[in-house]
Amino acid sequence: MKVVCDRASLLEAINLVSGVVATRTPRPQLTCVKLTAAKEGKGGTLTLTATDAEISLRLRVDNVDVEQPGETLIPADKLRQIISAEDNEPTLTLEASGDTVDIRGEDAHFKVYGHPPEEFPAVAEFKAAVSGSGGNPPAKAVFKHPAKSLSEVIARTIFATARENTRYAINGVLLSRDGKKLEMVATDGRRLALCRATLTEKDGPSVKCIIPTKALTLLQRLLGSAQGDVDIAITDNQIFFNISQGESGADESAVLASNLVEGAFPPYEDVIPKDNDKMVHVDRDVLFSAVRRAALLTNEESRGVRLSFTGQDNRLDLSSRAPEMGEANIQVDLTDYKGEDVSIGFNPGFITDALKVISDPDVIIELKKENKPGLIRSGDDFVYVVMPVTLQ
Amino acid sequence: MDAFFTSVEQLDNLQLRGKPVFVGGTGPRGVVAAASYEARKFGCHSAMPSAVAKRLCPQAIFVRGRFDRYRELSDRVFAIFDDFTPLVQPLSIDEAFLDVTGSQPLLGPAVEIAERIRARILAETGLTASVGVAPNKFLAKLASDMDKPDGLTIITPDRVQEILDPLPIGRMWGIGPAAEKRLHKLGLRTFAQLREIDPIALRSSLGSWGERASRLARGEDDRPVVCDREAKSVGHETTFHADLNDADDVRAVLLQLTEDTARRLRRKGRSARSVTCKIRFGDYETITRSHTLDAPTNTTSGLWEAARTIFDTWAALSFRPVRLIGVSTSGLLDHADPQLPLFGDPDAARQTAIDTASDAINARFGKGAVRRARTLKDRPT
Repeated sequence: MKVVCDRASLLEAINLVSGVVATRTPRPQLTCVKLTAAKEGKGGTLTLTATDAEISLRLRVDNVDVEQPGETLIPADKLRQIISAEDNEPTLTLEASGDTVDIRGEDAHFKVYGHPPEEFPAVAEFKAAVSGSGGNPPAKAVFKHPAKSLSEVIARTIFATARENTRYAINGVLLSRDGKKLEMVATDGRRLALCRATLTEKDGPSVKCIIPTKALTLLQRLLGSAQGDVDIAITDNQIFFNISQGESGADESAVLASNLVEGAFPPYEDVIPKDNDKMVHVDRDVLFSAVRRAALLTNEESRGVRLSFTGQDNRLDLSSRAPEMGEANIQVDLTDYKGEDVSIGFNPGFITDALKVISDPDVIIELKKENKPGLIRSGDDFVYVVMPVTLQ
Repeated sequence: MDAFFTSVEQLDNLQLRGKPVFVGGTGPRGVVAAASYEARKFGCHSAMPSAVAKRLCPQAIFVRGRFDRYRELSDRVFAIFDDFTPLVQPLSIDEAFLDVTGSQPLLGPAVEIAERIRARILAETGLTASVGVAPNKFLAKLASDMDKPDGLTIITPDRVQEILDPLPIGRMWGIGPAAEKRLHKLGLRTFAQLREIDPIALRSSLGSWGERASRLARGEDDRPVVCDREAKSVGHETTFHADLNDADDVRAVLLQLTEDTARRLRRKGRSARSVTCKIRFGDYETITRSHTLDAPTNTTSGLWEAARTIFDTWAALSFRPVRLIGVSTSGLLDHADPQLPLFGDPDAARQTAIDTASDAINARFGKGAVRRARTLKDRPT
């Protein structure tokens, strides 16, 4: 294999695939990235593939000068460091012979020892996943959705996932597709975020699966500036995302595949309150600022901010108190508070987390009482449930 | 406290009184945790390999440590301190600094307070304690070691130099064998020699540390007594007689340590936010892995789930024979988690009931009277 490649494009690609590469593994091959050079029409491509055995990413760099097609397996970390450090070079030449790779710039020559490429695990292609191959049945569901909307739905849910809960199912985001409805739900057992979007295709099988948070974080990075649609294929135990550059859906310029999280997602529909009788509209930025300021006087021991709604004054008072530190009081004028007075404590971070992902300035808060879940809504597509904290 | 662990054993068992006694393991890797004064006459001391101690004093009796009992007596001794001053800084299970500056107008001079504390410890626990009374922590610690066992030593400001000067440099706070060697190389063997050196010269040859050493040599120490009574972590660890090369065996021990840790947390009425496992190998390489819980807990099942996940994640990828396994909990809270859960855990009430019942049984019939079957030697698979 021998290619001459634009350094900036290569750096962008290696930075993205490095997010997949396994760090703690007894299989050194999984710490590597596989490079595959191919001639295509007039130009050539270099495809970078990485996997940690759970998630795999295949990323294609176009407009590469392929002098000799082929493939090689090289430690991702070293490759990334070299590409990043050679910042005076417009292009780099990568040449593989045997299990070593020579990387050359104007004034530099690196020889890096790799592994035989055939020792790298097979990573399924998107088309193969859709149609089924190697004994795997065809995908259960295949649909597409605009990259921008998908990215937004992920951003509005992923923050609420559990980080390393022993109930594995909530260390991921539940995706469900039912007719035209696409829904994602995430929870850490104390708050829950749900976001909906409408699909362009209305026909297709209903499907539910749990996607690991890490896969969605990577997907977010890939979606970054992507235009057009993302193709999604779901099999019994994996999900595939195909992100095309430009319009053509069949173009596999970036394919992310992930194992699905096994286990049952908690019965989230049951915990979305339906009888919260106190309701108010607030301005997103006003509430965000008030909560953040009130949170200044909380600490590890007393993490709660008290929200007191009074109907007579149409006012929200936010207060906090930290032992041996002090107290804070913030006043917010309301316009339309409906219901009896209520005072309820929340982890301020849980409130600001949600406000950060709401784009609409109009936010609706619905409450019942101090030990019942609070609800935050924005438009018709975002629902956030948050359990209170008990305050002394 | 004087030879605390062995004194407790001699207190509880008449047969041991007046005899050389060790608390510690007797296996090939056993270490002496405490040696009674009778055994110390033979040159035995704590932290010595048990095999060496046995050779020095073959007639000594080895006793397995009963740490729950030591802790119980330690709690009683610390409760006595509380009657004399709120400023108590525990150094270990059987050692503490007390700042009685503010107590003197009410309770009398420091020496009198010291005598009263010693008398109450003896009356209420049957154990003896050695006390040092001095103007600062460094001198108090030194004084408490000067007349053991059952002693009271007072270092008044005018006697400081007289007492310090002839002491070997190794007695200084923070000077271990390595630092001692470095000082010996510089020709410094006693406090007096160190005191006579220009502190600035000492600083240039020993770093900022030299300045501190020079102050200590003059008996100056301005560190306050910090009463941080709340433990930062609670945990247990154990070293195996021979490296364990079966992951299931290690896991069974880890479970038992987790049960013990959870029980101690519950007794203190505290919950933990994080669980850390410590694994040491035959070559002494040690790794630690932590897990932060979504909600603080003190149930055995909740802590075990975290410890087991840590262990299994490590073992699945990189198991190798284990010399030591330990578990500790940190991020301790005095109260239940104020954050309410979104999904009620139907199992939580049952787990709490199991813990309450087994704690009561173990308190009455002895630790391990009831325990998880997996911790047994011939455990079901």
